[in-house]
Amino acid sequence: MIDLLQYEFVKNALLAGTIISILFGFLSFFVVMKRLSFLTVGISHAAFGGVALGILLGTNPYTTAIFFCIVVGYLISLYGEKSEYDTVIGILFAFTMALGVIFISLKQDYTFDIMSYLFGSILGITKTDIVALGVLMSVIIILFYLFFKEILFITFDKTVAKASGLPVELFENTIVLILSLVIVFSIKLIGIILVSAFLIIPSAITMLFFDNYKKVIFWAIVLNLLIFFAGFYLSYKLDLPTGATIVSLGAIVYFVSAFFKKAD
Amino acid sequence: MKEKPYILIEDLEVRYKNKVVLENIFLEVNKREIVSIVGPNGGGKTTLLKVILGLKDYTKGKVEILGKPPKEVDKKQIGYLPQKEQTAKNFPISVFETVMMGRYPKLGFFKKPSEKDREIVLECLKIVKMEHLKDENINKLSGGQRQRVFIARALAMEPKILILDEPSTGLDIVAQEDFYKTLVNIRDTKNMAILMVSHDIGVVSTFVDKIACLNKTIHYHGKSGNPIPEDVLKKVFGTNIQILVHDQHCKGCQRGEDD
Repeated sequence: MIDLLQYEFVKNALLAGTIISILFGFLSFFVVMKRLSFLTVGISHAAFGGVALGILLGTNPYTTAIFFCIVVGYLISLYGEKSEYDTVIGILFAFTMALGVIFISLKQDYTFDIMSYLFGSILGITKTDIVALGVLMSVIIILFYLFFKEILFITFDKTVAKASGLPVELFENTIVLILSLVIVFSIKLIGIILVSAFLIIPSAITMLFFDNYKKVIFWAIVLNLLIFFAGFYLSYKLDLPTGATIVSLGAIVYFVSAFFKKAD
Repeated sequence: MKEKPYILIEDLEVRYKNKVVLENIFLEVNKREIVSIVGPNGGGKTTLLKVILGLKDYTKGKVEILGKPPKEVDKKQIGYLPQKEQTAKNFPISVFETVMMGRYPKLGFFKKPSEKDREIVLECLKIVKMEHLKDENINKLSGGQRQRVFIARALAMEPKILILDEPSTGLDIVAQEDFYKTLVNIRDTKNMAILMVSHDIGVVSTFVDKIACLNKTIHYHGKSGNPIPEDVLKKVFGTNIQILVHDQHCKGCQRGEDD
């Protein structure tokens, strides 16, 4: 694999992957605990509508994707309170994908590779993407470091946290914003369809083995890095798509762990 | 001079849209007092608690919590235990860390817990007799033990008022007795006012100072129907009961509309 490092795009992909693995490993604890798995699916699929709109308008697809993800995230929060979250996400997720298909069909000169948005393409990662990811990770780390105890309380027991005067709505809106941003910034590497798995799998695995949140979070980050590098290496060796190989490996590790844990 | 009641409600009326759900409510809870509100489902118990917690607006009357309207009260003065435990399922956390959360709103932003906070947490665990399980994962506890941990978390906030919504749900008789004894201990050692709602009138009546029955309005014994002489009440139910409700005199105790 060392010889691969001479290629600029490989270095970029590995750097981006390292940042995303750490971020996703960390955030996955909150996604799993707050039962936001399906929300991440909703947000990530909304990115497709956004990307398609960007392509149609001839602007940067990632800018419109961020906009779409945030709007969908908030619509889910707003309407989910009124009816059921699953229902609202189920509708919005299909709606934004449908919009994406319509936008693409409206674009006459069809010269882009839609597969790279859906399933990721490591070739597309630039230095600018890495800087953006680095800044995003720093902001998230600072936010969580400063407000960790409040975030922990709200994640654990929203009702009592609210009754004690903690700003629960502000936190929930912020987490939707953070998830929207990390999802859009990860599309190039992992793809719209696969990205939510990367946000769920790490803590789903470590929750099986540890009974303290600090250990769950720490090992989720370590495990996510291992899965990323192993998946990356496998995809190179076996000549398979990178994002799909990484997610498949993660899913296999989860099912094998859950199987053996049950047998305990 | 008589100290102001911690909770004072006079002539309260609450509506959901145009439907009156609470009316003519008078309630007083003082320092070092446990008051239980009993009544049927749909009788407005949880709505009343929401008004006290500042989570529901009222249409008429006066509500003063520690001398202030509910929305202006410092939330840290009120420890709250909701009806259904709504914690994240299987959250990997120890008993000690759970109780420490009660310190977080008190500490404020950017501050980490100090040695003093740890001492307060241990003391709260001692009061609810859970000190020996402080390192245990809360998911491994029984229902009664978890309830006591959440009481300790509310205590860790060092509130003046403790509000409990159906705290004995899911506990067997022995666990209920233990739980109420713990509340009596808290009242006496911490000088707190404790208000709880419950649909159960069995064990609870032995441990509380006042019982009121709520079904849209509050019915106290001795205030509706023929009064029961207090000395008879004391003879039957012990000296720690001031007012007892929920017998044939309690006209309010038909089943609620939602049942």
